[in-house]
Amino acid sequence: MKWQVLIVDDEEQFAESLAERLTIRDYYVSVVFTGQGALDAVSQTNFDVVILDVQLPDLNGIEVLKKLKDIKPLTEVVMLSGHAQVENAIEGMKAGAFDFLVKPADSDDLFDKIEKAGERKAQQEERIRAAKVSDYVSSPRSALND
Amino acid sequence: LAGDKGKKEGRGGWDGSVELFCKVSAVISHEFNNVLATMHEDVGLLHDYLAMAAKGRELDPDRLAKVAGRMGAQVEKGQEIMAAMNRFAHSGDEALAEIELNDTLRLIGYFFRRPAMAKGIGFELPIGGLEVKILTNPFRMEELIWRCLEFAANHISRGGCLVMEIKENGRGAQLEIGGLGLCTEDHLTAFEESGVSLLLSDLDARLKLTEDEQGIIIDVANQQGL
Repeated sequence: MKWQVLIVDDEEQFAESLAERLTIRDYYVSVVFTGQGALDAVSQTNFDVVILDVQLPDLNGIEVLKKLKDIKPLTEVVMLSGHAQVENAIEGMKAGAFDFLVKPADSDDLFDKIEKAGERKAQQEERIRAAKVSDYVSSPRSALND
Repeated sequence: LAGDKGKKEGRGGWDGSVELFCKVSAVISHEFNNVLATMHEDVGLLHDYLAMAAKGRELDPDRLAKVAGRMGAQVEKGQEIMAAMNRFAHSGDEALAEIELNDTLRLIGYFFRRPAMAKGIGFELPIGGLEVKILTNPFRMEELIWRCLEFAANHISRGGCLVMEIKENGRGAQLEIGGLGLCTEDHLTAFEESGVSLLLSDLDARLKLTEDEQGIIIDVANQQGL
């Protein structure tokens, strides 16, 4: 399964290069350079994984993470941080990020985390779908409430 | 770097000059890390292309040219950071030297971009103004400008923009940082008492509020008499 990935990083050339590498690996990739851009993109598209830089020009990465999780709770987020921002990335984990990596990140590690994050989202969606089916079976009228 | 007087002050037991050096070093390391991270991805991308070529897919010259262009741009960015770092490092060479204030402000502004960005604020440096030269302690002057930018950044709302202007005046020069929210004499006094007063006295400089109380003015004297 190839996931729909959003890269959020104000280092445009970094984002461009990473996007190309993910595209080669058959992921569907979008790129935005601001926190607000990320929130807009997530509102419009059901991304599986978001690669989110901790430091953005307009909004703090943690702030973006929290808002993003409000909009799409199942979308998984991998935080990217510089050396000095590891504490922020850990704070991100507490706020619901799937994982974090320090830049420059080991490529295999990054691709592995994207894969696992995508799988987790798919599993969560499957659980929700199964729960709904089970609910419909036991109580068909509940489908009317959806 | 700062002279004996400077070593007595500072925040939390730190010498203010050491603090500036640490903060600027943190900015530089962050910027270099971004350069390395981009080049790291580009090297990875080249490996990806080579792996594709090994499987029989033709190498696309346009794609290679894009990577080469990005790597060249990152080398340029690295050189720019290195040049700024070198200028900053050499500002401690002499305790008294003639500096051009626009130039010094651009240098400190370059390093302050990222801390400002972290607070969600922008700033406008003077463009194309007249040269304003003063004789002063270059490193201590940089320290004063940095501290004033920090003060200003703490008195402006997120999304705001600090506007800077430099003028000559009778005793030397003045640097105005405007665009702040309302700032009072109490704020300014508290700021001076937070370790800035000795710096001001070393540089024969004064701080005051702008008339609209939405900015501060650093009035700094030439020190040729010292």
